[in-house]
Amino acid sequence: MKRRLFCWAWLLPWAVSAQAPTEAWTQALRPELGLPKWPALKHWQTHPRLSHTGLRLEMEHIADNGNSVPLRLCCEALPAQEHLRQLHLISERNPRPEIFKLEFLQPLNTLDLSTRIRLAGTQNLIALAETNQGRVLWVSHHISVTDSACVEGA
Amino acid sequence: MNLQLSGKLQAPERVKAGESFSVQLLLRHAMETGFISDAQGQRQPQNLIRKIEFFLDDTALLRLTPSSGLAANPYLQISLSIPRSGKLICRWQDEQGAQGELSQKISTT
Repeated sequence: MKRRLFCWAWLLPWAVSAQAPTEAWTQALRPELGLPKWPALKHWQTHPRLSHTGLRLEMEHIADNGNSVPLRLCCEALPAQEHLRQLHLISERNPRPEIFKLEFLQPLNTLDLSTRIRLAGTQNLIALAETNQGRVLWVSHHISVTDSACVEGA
Repeated sequence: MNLQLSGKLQAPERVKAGESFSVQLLLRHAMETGFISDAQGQRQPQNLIRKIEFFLDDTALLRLTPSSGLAANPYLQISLSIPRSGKLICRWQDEQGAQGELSQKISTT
């Protein structure tokens, strides 16, 4: 009996890895729970003036190809005297979480931006916009990516 | 190395002062992430566009700092507003020193 067990023991690691999911399937975020505890969001985690209104992130819920995923970011007109200072797009699973930072060097109180990004698999994205009045507007979006952009680095 | 990167900038020739208008930018750049290996197993060195800046004459308007998450051949469409007529200039530079500049005159009414 012992001898038979020993013969099959070498297959155990393979059996365990075959059962384990190959990719962590992330869930859509719930805005009412606040910003998630991602290391890349550490700077904003305890910000006293976080607001989940005003910023809109428009993109598909499923992307066939993670190499080029179109997105649109819009910000409603801000109150008088308030304008955008910085915009950050942060990803949950990309090897480099910050996809881009956009600095507004002249006052701009609305935003309409479209671009194409790379995504390393199914994940959540968070956009944060900082205003000159100290408010931080944020929005999240969950996207399923069938073909990841970054096979080796992810 | 100081290659001129190719691209295209599209903006209206006439806009209303202070009103927002759309600017489109398309650049030809591989945005090498440094994570991809070739057929021989050699990693391609990272070469990303470090920054893309928009100016109205000498006044800086916007600065975009991308990472490897921006897709190859970056495309950007963004709303801008300008208070006066001038030359809208877009400059960019990658990690290997290649840079480029595109401009267009915009007059305000």
